[in-house]
Amino acid sequence: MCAETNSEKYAEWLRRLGATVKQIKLSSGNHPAVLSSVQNLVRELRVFLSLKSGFSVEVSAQRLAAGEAVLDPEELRIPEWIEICRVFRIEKIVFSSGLEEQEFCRWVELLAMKPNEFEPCGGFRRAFEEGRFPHIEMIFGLSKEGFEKEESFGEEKKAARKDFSEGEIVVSGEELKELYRETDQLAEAETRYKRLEEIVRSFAGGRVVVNQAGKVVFSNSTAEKILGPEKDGGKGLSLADLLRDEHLLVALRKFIREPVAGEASGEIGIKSSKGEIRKILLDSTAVIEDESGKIVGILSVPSDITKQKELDLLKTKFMSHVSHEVRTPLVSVQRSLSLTLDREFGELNPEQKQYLEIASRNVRRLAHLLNDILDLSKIEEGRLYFRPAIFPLLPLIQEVKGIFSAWASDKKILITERIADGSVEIEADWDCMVQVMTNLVENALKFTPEGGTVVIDAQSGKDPSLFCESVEIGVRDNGIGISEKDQKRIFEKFEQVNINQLSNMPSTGLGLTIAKKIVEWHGGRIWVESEEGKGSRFAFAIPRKQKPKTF
Amino acid sequence: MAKKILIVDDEADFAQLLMFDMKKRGYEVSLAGDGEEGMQKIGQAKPDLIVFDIKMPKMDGYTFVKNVKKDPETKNIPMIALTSFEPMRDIFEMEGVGDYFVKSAKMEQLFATIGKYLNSPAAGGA
Repeated sequence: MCAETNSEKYAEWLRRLGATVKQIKLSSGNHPAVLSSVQNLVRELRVFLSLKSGFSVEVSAQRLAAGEAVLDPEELRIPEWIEICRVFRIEKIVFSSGLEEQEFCRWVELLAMKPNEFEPCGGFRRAFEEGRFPHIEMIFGLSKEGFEKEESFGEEKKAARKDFSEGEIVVSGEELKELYRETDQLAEAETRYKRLEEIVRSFAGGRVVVNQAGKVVFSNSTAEKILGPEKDGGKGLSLADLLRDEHLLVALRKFIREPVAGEASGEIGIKSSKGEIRKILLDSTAVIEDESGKIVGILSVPSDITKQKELDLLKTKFMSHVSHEVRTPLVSVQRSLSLTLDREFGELNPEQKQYLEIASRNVRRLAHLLNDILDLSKIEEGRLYFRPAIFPLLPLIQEVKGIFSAWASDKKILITERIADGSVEIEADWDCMVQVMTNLVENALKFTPEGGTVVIDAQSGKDPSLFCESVEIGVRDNGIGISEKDQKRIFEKFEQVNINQLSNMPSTGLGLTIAKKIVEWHGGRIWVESEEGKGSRFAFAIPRKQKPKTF
Repeated sequence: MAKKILIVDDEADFAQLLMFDMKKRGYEVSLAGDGEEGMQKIGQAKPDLIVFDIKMPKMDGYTFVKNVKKDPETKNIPMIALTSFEPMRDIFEMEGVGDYFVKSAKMEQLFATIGKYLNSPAAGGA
């Protein structure tokens, strides 16, 4: 078999065929060195297969098949198969034996190339024109019908047709013409696509597309600057290479695999080339689907929020400092007022008493606000001072009930408890737990009309999302309830839902945020179940044992 | 004989209110406006317990504790830090300081602790 002659022959065919290659026959020859490359390729093809229906990979060498059995789908890498196969309209790839190692590696090289390094189809053709695949007779074939209809092939080429009677495909003369036309259309579409890509690339905001395997497949220059440090914006690199925060990656992967309607966002830390950690906010804004509706990637909008984060911390520190400075004089005011009200310095007339009580009440309110701000800033600065201890549930609940007993009886609200087993012990910071429950009970009391009931419930078990032995504590009121829309933002800072209409109790809108942060510090979760008009149940679950942490 | 407490704090208003509460509980109280004055007053007041602030002019709380603990005459006097700021680790671990309180803490807690030190013979001083 004369390689050069064949090469020319097939190059000519490919010029004719253009984008119409429907089958590629790749062979490995069972050479041990080649085998592993083939295995890798097969692996990647498997992934591709899962993305595109009607596509098949055949593996003929038995050893290859044996090798596949141990492949872990978690480790799969997806190169630009989707794009390549779209551009070249490859619908079937067959592996069989016969190809030499060197050639095979060229194939791997070609197939792994980024699609936009080729003109559509032209690059493929050029590869053959340049003689990069001298033994292509092992690779391509034409159906007899299509072959014979194509008159330009001439007699000599038609004779050569017999050399590769298997693994072929099917391009009739009619189809060829149709496909030529499609090639032109494709080129036009490609121009449009490129123009669109240029527009997206020039967006001021960052845009990055991550495929299902977590690999960056598109990024514009802003995204590249933000995501650095690679000069090409990390194209072809997986996010894992770029991102420091493994937890976020896990979350992102989960999002890519099980996308939910709406948006997802997360903060990540990225180590820049200078070694400093920058904070990036990644907003995942769109799910990208292929023609069959399968999800192939996620469009994210990264923005560098390092400066904002620094400012945020500065602001928190400033708030914390001011609050401390304000609190000490406030303590003196509070103390002086209460000494006077306690008639330490003599009797008061009714007006004096009334107005001193107004002063006292408002000082308390101010102190409450300051304490909340300080608590939150402590948590946000990460210097919360936890002292975990082991204690049973019952005393905790009794302590909180005790705090509110006077207020509750004033409002004629009954606080009851429904506890499966009060002797169940948890490991947590006592003061923190009291604070969380105080915030929840206080809220419940605010929402509950006179004569209502607040129920504290507690049970141990296994929270489905904590994956360990846990306790769940809930506080139910029969107040006005919270709309579904409000339920989502109620744990955010300074969010209040119609509280002021119901109660004249001071509220900072920080209580639930603090509760949420504390619960999360304990490795737990907090949520609300509510129906408008029927009341709400705020509940949290924490693991019964704390993982060792650096407090 | 009444037990003696020395308050070392530059916030005069707060100190005065604290003194009021202490006197009401039967303690004998003297005041000092900063660490330096505190060192001067220790000799004559011979306190059984010292309550001190951290952030003070001239001599701050940290230096004040060191000086009190250096002197064999005074080193056994129990000391309670009273700060505007949250109890932080460095205060908590200050050599020789028995306890700390935030100024906004409940007075009952502070006096329970003071009582604990002043009634216990092991606490020294008296």
